[in-house]
Amino acid sequence: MEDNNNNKEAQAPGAADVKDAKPDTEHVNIKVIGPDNSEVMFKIKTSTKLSKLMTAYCSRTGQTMGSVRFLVDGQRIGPDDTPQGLGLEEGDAIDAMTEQVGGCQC
Amino acid sequence: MPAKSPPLKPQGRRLSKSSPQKQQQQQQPQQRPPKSFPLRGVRIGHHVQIADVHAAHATKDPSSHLKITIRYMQRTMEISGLRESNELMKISAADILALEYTEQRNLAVMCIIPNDTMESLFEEVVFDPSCDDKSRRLIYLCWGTQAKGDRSTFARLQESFGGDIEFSALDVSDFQKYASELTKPASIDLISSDDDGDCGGDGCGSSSDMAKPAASTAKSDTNSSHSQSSSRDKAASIGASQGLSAVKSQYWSSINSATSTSFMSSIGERTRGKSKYADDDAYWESTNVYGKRALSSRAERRTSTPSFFATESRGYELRKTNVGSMAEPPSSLEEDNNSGSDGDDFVVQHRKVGVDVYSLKFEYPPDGGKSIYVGGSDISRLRSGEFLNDTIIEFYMRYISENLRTADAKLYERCFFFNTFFFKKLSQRSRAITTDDDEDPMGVVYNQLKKWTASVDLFDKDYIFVPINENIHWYLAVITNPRAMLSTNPEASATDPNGNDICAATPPKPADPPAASPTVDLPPLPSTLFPSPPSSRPSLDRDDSLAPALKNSDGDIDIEMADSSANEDMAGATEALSQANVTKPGLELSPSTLELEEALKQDMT
Repeated sequence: MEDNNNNKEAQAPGAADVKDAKPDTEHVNIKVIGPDNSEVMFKIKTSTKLSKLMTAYCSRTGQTMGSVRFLVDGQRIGPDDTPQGLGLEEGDAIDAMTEQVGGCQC
Repeated sequence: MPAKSPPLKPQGRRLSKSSPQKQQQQQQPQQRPPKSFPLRGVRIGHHVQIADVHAAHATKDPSSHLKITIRYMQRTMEISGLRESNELMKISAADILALEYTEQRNLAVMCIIPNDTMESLFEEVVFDPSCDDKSRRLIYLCWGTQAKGDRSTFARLQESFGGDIEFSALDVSDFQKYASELTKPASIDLISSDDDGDCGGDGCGSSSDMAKPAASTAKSDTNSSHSQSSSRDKAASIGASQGLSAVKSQYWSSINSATSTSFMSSIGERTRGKSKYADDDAYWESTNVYGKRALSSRAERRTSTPSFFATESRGYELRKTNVGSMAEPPSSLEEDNNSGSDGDDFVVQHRKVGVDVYSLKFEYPPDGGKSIYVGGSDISRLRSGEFLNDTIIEFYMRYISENLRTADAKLYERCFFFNTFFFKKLSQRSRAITTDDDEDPMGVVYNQLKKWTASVDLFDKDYIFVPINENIHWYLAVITNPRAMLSTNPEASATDPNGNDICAATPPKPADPPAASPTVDLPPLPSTLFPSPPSSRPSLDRDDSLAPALKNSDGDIDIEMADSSANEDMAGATEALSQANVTKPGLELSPSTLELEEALKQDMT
């Protein structure tokens, strides 16, 4: 990670072009893996709260925020977490799981 | 302000039957959908159906030319092409905005149903609901070839519009390519300010591409609208080259500001005679009234809109996306209107329909870190007759474990609690088989899951708790002494082929809960697995069980006391949970039962 950062910093100034491939320490591409193993890539600032990503993902998949759980390495993440805080790096994956419901009407 | 009765699209275009396809195919090769390409209308990946078309009133009631009901996940929206009735307009303006206009400002409804078993793969409806002059109305449809249900819809549309409207079906094969694009992994850029111009240009370029089918049909007009259509094409190309985001942001802010006239005129310079805009202005202003959108300012909008929203979801991102709203109850439209000054995100309307606003009630444990976020929708799960969801289950497991940690840290160290999704993930291997042919299916699952326990050594644990949700039931699997699985005990492996199988495939991962029942020599289990607070199990004093949780969390837990009934139910649920999670393990973890306990399908409510 350290090396990556350094490289990116070195390249960043010259890169006016801000395509996906742009190396930048501030930005990471995060993969959200849906319950059906579908993947959506999000490019996000490391300091941006993940609620942004969550709402984007939910609206994209037609789900509501309340029905999707986002897990990083099996741990739930909250809307106020940031990629930085979670230590997410380029290409890391977030699992998006749908709500599980269970019980019995007795 | 109120829309009088002006044609929404004064200059309707008519299609000849054949030329749209021709034009379409000419255009298609140039349409290289980028990875994340925006479609006008309903966005990619949404399962959308045109559920019904109410066209019965189309000719009788001037206020209702066409009304299409679209079921879109949980929401139902109606699109009406009508403007004369304010009431109708109220509905239709917001919905039409949500679906977005093309730069020609014909409504485009693109319904994309990725599931190919659906009859209709792709549909596009562009209609020009100008009311008075029937010859100017346009219904533009793209149907799946074999869509029977849609045929009837088509017929109804045709019926409602009589013979005055020409219908033309596009060749859907080109659009099917888009549909296939939909299923690919997409990329969404959430970075707003820096990349806005660039990504906005990308997205808008493609969106103008998507407009080309419609624009191309304009070329084929056989009547007097030829000049109009060419100018429209020109406008489209301008938009493509300039990046439509600029145009769009103007467009959107114009909806929300009183300065719609300036926008309209700017468009008018590009496309049409200004004279047509009186009516349109009325329309837009009425949109402003009913759409209830609030934007801080055009400039701010321009720079602050996340490119994702700018390209793909404009008009559909009908919620506040600023984080502050997370902790707020659903805002009313008025609030949204007033809070447009948020710097980071644009603020738009909350749709009445189907938007489940994520409102954080509290998190546990409150000291941050890996907390469970319990939201309003979760708490509603505690009501009588409701099923419990994973958040509640996990919260209570967490509650137990946290109490255990404070009560008996050593024992806590010997326990490991999976969350409710572990088993779900684990049992997804069948799907993994189909998607990754090369790899070992279990290896795929293992790779996905290995990080989950990267921080701990499961084989150091004595008890592993795996909550499982299957068939709308919750139960808890307890794995005891996973260490024993490492020992090369032939009997152990022979006795349970299931567990053996899983273990063989993923050697380092022992926690394959229900299947494995290693029966070996386990150390005696402490009967005090749940020593203190939570282990007040069978008695289940609800107050006792709930109160510690609240106490522990101090001020950080922010339960909304306004909803006292929810708290009551909460207590009930914790009761149920403690039955399920505490009682059973407690009972079965007697020293005599030296095997994996796959516990209880316990009624939770």
